[in-house]
Amino acid sequence: MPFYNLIIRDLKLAFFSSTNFLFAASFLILILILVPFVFGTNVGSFSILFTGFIWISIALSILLTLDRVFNSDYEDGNLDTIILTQQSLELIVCSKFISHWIANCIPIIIVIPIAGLLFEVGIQDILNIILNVSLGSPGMVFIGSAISALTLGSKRAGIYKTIIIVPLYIPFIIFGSNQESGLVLLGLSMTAFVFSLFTSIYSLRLYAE
Amino acid sequence: MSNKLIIKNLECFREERTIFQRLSCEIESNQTMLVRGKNGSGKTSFLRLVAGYLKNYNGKVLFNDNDLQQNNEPLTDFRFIGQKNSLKDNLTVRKNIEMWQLIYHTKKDINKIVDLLDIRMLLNKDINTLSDGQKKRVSLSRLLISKAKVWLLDEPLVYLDLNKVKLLQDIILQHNDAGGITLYTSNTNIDLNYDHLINMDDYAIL
Amino acid sequence: MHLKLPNKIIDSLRRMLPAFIVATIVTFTVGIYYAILNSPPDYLQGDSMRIMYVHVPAAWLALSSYSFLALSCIAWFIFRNPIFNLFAKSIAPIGATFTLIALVTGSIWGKPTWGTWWAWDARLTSMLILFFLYIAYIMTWQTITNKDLAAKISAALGIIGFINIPIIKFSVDWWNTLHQPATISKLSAPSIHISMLTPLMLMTFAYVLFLITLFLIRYKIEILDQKILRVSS
Repeated sequence: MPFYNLIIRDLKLAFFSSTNFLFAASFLILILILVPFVFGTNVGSFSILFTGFIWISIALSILLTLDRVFNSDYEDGNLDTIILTQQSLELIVCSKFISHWIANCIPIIIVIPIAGLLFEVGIQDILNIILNVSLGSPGMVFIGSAISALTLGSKRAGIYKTIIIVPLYIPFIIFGSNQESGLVLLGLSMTAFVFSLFTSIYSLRLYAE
Repeated sequence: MSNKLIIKNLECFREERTIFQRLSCEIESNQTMLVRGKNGSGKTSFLRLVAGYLKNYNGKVLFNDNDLQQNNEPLTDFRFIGQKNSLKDNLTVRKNIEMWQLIYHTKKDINKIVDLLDIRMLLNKDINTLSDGQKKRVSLSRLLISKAKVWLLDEPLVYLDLNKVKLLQDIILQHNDAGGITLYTSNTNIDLNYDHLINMDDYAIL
Repeated sequence: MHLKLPNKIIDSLRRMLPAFIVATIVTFTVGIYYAILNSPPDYLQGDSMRIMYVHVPAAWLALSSYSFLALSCIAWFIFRNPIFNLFAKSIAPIGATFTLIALVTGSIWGKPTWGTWWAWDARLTSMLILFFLYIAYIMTWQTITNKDLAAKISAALGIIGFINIPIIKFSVDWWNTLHQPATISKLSAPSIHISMLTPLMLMTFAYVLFLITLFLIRYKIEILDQKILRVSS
């Protein structure tokens, strides 16, 4: 299926790039390394901060690698090539979403239990966090990708994109840090999917011209 | 297998501005068309319109009697090679070609392709070590990776030296002999053989 | 469908502008007189509540400016008439400034009244986000050099922000019920005595006139800008 081919291609590109899955996984640990030095070594308070830092690292790791979703393909011309294959734009956009989520969020989710050990977070809490992150992070990837599609035409758009995206992440972070709001996160992600699909397709049509 | 591309009274818009108008032509299997014109006369827009990227136009583009504007399917019969090389700088040539194979969903043997374009020695080199001409040739290998009936080449001759132009000429002839159609734009003095010539300056609105 | 830039509009703007400037100055003078001298101090907050006369209208107008911006964006999507883009583009920096005024005066008001410069409640947070939405909208026109593209993208962004504001307000409200249940009730709007209502209404009226004046000036500039673009291209 060409759809899977596109996902495989993006995953391979992610793997070959400098910010591959190792980046995403180590990024979380690296951010967490800073925490004890900022807040002292009273381990008891770490577990409270833990969830927050997981979400912040996810947001940052998505923001930092957004260029890979549409921008690099747009700048070197591959997006033209992809649009002209037999795929519909919807499938192309979905494949981008999925591959970016796999490349960026799965490594973080895998590392969460290990990081939890460092901070003496209980098993139940870790399971809750993993559930929340798995439900919420797709939505964040969708939104980030959609906004980067929308802003393809701007040069050096880093800070500009961040200004647009971070306000859109606030609901995810708020509900993500609460353990019982898995369903809300799922709802947010689904809303984000519809909105992002629409926005991305609109933008791709715009930039293909 | 014979194909026919008919363009009737084409008028192309970018936003509210008309780029060109009253462009009509016909091109059949085994024919090449050269699109000439000054910078900004709409050569690229014309090719991108035929390729299906630009939807904002009046007139008709008929391929084998199918109206492209009514057809919402992606145009798999068309292969557009733009001025951007579509190359990933940090990958080798071989990896780049593999990426394209994934996009085009083919598993064709690349050995023949590399010989046709004379890029065998480059296969394991990183893209950012190549010269512009070499990059162009690698970029053109997309034509051979999977079959398409109509080739739309935007400035394919830029950066190519004479004997590499000859290579491209042979490739295009082969494609045309198999019933293909080729449209290309050029601004240089060297030209490939062509059967039709369109001068965009006659249609452009500047 | 080219943008018709009728000289009539610019001319009538030019004629209306002085009237608006004078009206703004007059209402501001009267409003400030009432706000500072001719109204009683609050029996709880004392004179510090007089900053409300600056803060509240600014906050109202910041929000309604964004609504106007978003509605213009929606109208642009429906009618594709560039004039709506000019509306949105003209109001954006004004709205951003009003948002900033509301934020700063709100902080200054908050310190003596509630003992804090800032509280993470829904209204303050969404106001802060509103400011960034304005900034994002303005930046669109600057970072995207192709004006036609910028028009389309900024319109989309304006609408995205419009959807986002209530979502953020709701989320932060919900977050507040978890984290600081008691404090918010203090931040809710106090009921206003009639003697304070007069200066508030006067100041709001002055603000509206000020907004219209600025908008007319900005709109005129945008139209001239378009004309220059068209002539030079």
